Amino acid sequence: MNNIFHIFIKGLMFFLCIFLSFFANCQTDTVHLKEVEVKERYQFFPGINKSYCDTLHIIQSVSANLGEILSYEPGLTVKRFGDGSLATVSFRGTDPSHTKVEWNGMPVNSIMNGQVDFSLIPACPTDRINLLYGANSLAYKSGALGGMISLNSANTENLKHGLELRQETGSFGLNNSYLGLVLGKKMLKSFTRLSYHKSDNDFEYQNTAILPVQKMRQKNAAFERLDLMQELLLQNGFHEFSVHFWQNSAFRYIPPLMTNVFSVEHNETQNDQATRVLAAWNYRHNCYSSFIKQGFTFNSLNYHLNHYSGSYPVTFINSESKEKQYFASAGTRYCLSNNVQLNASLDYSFQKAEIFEEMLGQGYNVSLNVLDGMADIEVFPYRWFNITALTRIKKQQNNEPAFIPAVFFSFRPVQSVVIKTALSHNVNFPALNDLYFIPGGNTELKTEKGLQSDLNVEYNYRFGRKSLKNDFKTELDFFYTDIINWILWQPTQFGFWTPQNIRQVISKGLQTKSSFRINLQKTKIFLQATYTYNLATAIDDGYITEQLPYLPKHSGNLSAKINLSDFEFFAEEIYTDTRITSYYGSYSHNLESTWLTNISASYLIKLMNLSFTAGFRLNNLFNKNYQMVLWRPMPNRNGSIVITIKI
Amino acid sequence: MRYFLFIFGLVFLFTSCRKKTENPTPVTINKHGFFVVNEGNYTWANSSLSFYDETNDKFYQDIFYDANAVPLGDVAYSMTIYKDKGYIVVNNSGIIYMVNMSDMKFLGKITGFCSPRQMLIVNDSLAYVSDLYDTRITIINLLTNTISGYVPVGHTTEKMILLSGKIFVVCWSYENLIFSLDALTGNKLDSAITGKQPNSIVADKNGNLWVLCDGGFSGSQYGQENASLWCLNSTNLSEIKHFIFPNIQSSPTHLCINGSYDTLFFINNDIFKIAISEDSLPVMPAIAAIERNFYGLTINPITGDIIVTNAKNYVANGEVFIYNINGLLKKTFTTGVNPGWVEILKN
Repeated sequence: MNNIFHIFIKGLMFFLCIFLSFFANCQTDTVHLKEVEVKERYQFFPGINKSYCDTLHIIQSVSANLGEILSYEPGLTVKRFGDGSLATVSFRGTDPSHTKVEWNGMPVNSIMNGQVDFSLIPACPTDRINLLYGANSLAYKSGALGGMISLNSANTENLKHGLELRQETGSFGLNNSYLGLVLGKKMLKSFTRLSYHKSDNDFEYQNTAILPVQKMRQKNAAFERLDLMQELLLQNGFHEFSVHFWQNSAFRYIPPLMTNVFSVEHNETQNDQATRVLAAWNYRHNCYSSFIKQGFTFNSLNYHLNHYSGSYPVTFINSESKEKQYFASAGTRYCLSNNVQLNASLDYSFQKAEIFEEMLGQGYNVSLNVLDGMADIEVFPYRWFNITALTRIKKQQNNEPAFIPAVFFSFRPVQSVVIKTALSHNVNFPALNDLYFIPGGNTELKTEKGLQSDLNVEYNYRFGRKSLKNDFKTELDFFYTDIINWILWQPTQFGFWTPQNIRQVISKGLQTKSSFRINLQKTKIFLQATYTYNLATAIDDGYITEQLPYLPKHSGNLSAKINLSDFEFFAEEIYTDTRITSYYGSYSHNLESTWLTNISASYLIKLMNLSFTAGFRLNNLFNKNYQMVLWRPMPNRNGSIVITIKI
Repeated sequence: MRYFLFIFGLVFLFTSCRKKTENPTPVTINKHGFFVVNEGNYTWANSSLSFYDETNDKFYQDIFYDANAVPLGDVAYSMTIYKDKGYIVVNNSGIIYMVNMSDMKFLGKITGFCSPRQMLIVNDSLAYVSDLYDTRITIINLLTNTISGYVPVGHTTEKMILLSGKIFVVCWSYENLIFSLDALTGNKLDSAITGKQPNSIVADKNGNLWVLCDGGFSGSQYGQENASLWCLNSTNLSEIKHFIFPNIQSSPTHLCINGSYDTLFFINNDIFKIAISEDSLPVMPAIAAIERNFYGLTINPITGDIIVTNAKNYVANGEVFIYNINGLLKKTFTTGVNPGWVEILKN
């Protein structure tokens, strides 16, 4: 597989060198990268609180996947089983299946388990990553009882033709290559991205889960991932046509738990393939806009497990799952008057899932139709006040239609302060594994229901000379979510697990994010801090869990970036509070609180149209032993060298 | 800039001043009592070992961690006591820990298993280990604590008992078989077909074997049939009699026998008992579950006490109940998660 990747990359590089020589004379700029978070206020949904995941951390961590980047955002809990291993994201104490993800408007969540493995999504600095917490997600999609992550390609106007090449080499066989190429002029643009990520991931760690306690090297943990993204954007007057293509291939070994390293030799692997194609037409003119989208997704996952005793094969599991999804969406927006706007959309998807396990000869094969319609009315009685009433109706084959109402208020008492509040009653349908998995699937499952409420206060302050753009921003969110009929997989007396609607979760807390930017003559300082306080209690058929496992009560991070002429220094401190790892106070070990420190530095050289950046990054500077998931070790101090060339 | 450096300095200072984990306190094992092996949940590595000190009437949680400051592992399934040593079989960790019976301190480990279930010790140097996935029985050299060989039986194996120089083994997972081995040579002797999924086996005072079959489960690829209880002749594994459970939903487990080897006990939601001379299955339970999820069962051979565990919802901490011979509750204690195996100190 390595050789295929290398030949492919070399071939592509050769092709690009030849091809670019034809364009060399007309290149005037570089690929535009956003530096910090911005707020898209009142662009489409005035009352909706839509946050942008900032690119600060993406730029600093070249090899990161989206899961790592989202771990810096407040209110999100990222559960990573190790570098390259499964990474799930939960909003505010909800389940990973309550986090809905869209790519340019097309759903990304697995139709089988309802989740997204964020370790498979590369973090690209040109993408716009929107976060819609709680009820705010209903502007785009239903079912996001926690929230929604919207991945969007760069705007046409932000794409300036040029080439960017990055190479990162680091500890434990880390090798990361990135190529970004923008071609074309005003009307038609092509954006090509190729990202290759590989690591042996064979770090040394202290195994405190076996006797005698000893230093060990992580085994069976290598992974590699290749992503190819191609986008064609055509803008003609008020019309915009776009075609998006994303091919993702990942192969990884799955390491054993720290407690299981002395079992027989085993070979556990997972091979993921995903192909996504989307075509979209957008029309915008004055206060009228409409869009049509159509897309297709094909995912496959092959899981393989072999146990060997010497050369004697003991167990063999080989399961293959395939997901196919056709997606179509249309929507329109119309201004009834200066103070009233209407908005409506309809999404349709046809979903088909197949899973088959070779050894037991069992699996399921089902298909499903889903309709999700939305209508809202936005009223602006005053310039400083807005109210939006929204309703969705979702119908999933074999289930009763669900009615989903929401209301949003936006209030600006003074110029620098915006207060937003949202309230909704959301619904999430069971995923196909919940219904049909063999053994254990439960076709009697009901929909999960959630009451979501959110209050957001945002304060912006600009100071100093206007040209320097010094500012201070802070926002504070209070949230309360009550979910009933939460689908919980529980063991049975026959050894397999089965899902039931028996959990109720009440999650509440606050989150805050503040940034401080000071621009002096040749010095720029950017500070950012986030903090989340989250309490989430679960009640399962009378069994009470005071705080959900793996959800820290307190978490936050502090980042600082200093630019001195062409030097850049970056440091970040990440804090995660103690986490329990079991329900109902049952016996299990806790994960201790952790402070992690990462630093990086780089130097920029500019020559004509060429910019060259060389830098290094050190992760886990103080060499902490830590785990994100119980008995899954994480690397100690590690580093990498990064070289970037932009033309 | 000074303020910024000050804040970062403070943060770094905090990171180097974290409190270390408190050292656990080891427990001293008294001569009378029993151990409860708490399986935990598959891949959660939350197994633990509890101990009831009968002399002082005290119940201790997680004595393995307290003695060794290391977790027991992933799905601890069974425990075997031999002289002054205890052997704890940790199923999904593929390991057997050997501990000192006086203080539970780690003495050694036997590694390289796939999915070990039960260890049966023949003498000072020889033991056998059954396996849920490996179709061989593993032979252990107890002098070196290493795997010395395998008995390729062609079936996965579960419970084993030693009787008159023979080892009798039931094949549970998707199987319907019992066979016997020569205890010293490991040579296969006899085999017999039973009901589906024989999960436990005991020998009575007449030298006959009793085998309990759960019948599989609804939706299983292997199929499901009514559960059954079999009585076999230990000499040649020929059938003496068998009983069929009338309800297809019945899934009985944990067949046990009392100290006089004349009364059988098992879990079938409730606890039932049946004399070996009976000609039909009991209808009324000896101990009713009453919204409890009975999960493990053992009879104290000396006192006749019925020791039964409650796994609740399989995720919460469980319970252990001690009933007297007449079924009256004497004691209740909280255990770890999924208390399955109870091992009695027989001093």
